[in-house]
Amino acid sequence: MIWIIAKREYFSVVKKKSFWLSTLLFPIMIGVISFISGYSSSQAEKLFELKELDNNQQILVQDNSGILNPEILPQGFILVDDKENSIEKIRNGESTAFIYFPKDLPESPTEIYSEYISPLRSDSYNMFAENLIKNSIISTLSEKQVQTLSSQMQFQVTNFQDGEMVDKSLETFIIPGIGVAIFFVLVTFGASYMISSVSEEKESRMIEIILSSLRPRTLILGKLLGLLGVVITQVILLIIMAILSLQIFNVVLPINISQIQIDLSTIILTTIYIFLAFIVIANSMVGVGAALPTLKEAQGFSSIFIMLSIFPIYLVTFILADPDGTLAVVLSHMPLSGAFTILFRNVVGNIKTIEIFTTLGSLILQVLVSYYFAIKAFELGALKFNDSISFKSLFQR
Amino acid sequence: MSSIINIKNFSKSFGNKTVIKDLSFEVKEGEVFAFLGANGSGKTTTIRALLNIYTSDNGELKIFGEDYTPDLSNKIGYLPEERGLYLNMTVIDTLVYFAQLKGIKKEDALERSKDFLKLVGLESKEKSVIKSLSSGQQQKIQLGVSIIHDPKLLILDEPTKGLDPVNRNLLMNIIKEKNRLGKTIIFSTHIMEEAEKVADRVLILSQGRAAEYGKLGEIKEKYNEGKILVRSEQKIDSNDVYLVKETSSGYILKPKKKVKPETILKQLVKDNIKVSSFTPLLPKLDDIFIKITK
Repeated sequence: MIWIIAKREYFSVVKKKSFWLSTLLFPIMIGVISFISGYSSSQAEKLFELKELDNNQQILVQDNSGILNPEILPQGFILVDDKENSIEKIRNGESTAFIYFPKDLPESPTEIYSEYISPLRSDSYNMFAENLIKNSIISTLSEKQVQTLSSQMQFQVTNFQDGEMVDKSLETFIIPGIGVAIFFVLVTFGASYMISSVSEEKESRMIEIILSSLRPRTLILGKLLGLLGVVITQVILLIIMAILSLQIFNVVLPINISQIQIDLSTIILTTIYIFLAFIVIANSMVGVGAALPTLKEAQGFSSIFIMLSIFPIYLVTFILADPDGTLAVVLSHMPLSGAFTILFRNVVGNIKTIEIFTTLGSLILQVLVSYYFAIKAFELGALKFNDSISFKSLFQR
Repeated sequence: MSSIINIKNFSKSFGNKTVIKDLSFEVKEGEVFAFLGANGSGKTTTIRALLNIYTSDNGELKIFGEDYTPDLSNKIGYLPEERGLYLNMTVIDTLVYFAQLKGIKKEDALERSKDFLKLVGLESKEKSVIKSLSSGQQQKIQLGVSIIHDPKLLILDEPTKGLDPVNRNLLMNIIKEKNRLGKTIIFSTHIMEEAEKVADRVLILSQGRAAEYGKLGEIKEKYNEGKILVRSEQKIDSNDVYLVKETSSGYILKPKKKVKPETILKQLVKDNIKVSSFTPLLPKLDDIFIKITK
């Protein structure tokens, strides 16, 4: 019976055009957004870059620090020694900008006077002033010193953990990293499918005829399996598209694919975390879908659960900087957000065995509690077509 | 005849509101049982409790001698009052899916589905998606979903709700046909005319209690006021025996006290009234229902 329901759920989604559109458009959209954002920031940088000045532009520079090498000044820059007069020229529009290096540099600030153009461009001359000083210093160095300074340094790092040498090259992060990505897809897409599925049956008044033929738990398990299949299909499609894109656009990855370490225990652990977390979010969606009368209302409320599940993404810097810190450990055990946190931590470090057990225990407890409330909400709310169930009723016998 | 449904002292409240109080009745094998009551009288609540969709506060509700579990669903066809379909599914997939949920193998389900579509004249819509069907066509599919597995017992909650007269008639014929084939049918309605057409026995719910319960003829006899429809060329006036009301179909004679129809006929002869027809009038279920629920 469960398989019949799972099959229906699976095909009812994958046969939809919207499934293929969202799956295909997801990576394209990310690509387009990345391109637009990269392009616009590079254009902005170009805008702020100050290389050569127009013939009619004039920048006045006064150096009281004695660091500036006048020989490096490009055309259009004029050394001055009267601060007040220079400021007046800017005010009158006779010169474009005035850079004043104080005597006690860098303790005192470098003063810059220029015409106001826009909020983002008001700092246009800062970088240039900084470069003037840096280049002046560099001009005093030998050729080898300059070469050393400007070339990219090579490093060979050896890490030890508990007295053992550990390999923490980029390749070791790939498998757990994929786990994080899969979890993200699973939560965002899977939650949406589940809530639509439950709400559809409720809104279309199918639910009563189904409930007369099946136990709620059979229906919910069937849905879970079917929609898990949908998300797995979606993940596989996304991976295929990613591989094809790399091939077609000849993208060189900053990793050596042959060096990717396939650690079975990491894969198993990551899979268990993802699976349990998916069950928790899916149960929550069943509860929300059944408790509220319409899909629209259910979607609004479900976003709270989705946000709680993926909000560790906003704390990723803290988690990655200190994967064994208090914040990371506490978050790893929190309902909903625990799984994402532990997956992030799994990317950068070895999670202690005891913590694997405690976090798995926390997730299993969440599965049981969310399943209990999902069934309860389903029994109470499935036949309430016009209003939602009360929060209090979930705790009544 | 053994009883298929047996309800004893069933009560159900929602919060402070008592919907059903101490309701008892049985549905016998092979009969058509009409479950009557005004909107909100508790018919749907009783059916849902019977199918364990609601829990009862008190009492015993048995189907085929046991408490309902989904294991019994292959013996039961249920058409709920609040019904719908998967709008993006095709007609044939819908019927096959529900047949499979009732334990029927796919090949058999497919054959039964095609037979049903032929029966209701929708064979050309096999591959159509549900949302492309008219409301009446969708209702036929809903009925199909309930009977596709050829259940022994049909529970139909307001089955004619939203149907046009043609489809209502078709449904009534299907009910009669199923009953002729030995199926037991319980259906709820607030349209008394439907019950009169097909029911063997009825239960009238009023304020959560069984106001009347029994064979249709017996209930009608109980509420029989002895009215007679008389057709005559002559004018008939009221007298000590009966009151007269003139209608377009003739004179309705209502006895002043309980007398046999022969007494009225004798009085007409005595008054030299030439009678072309003399028909005892049994009360309509509608009138009984209004009287009970007033």
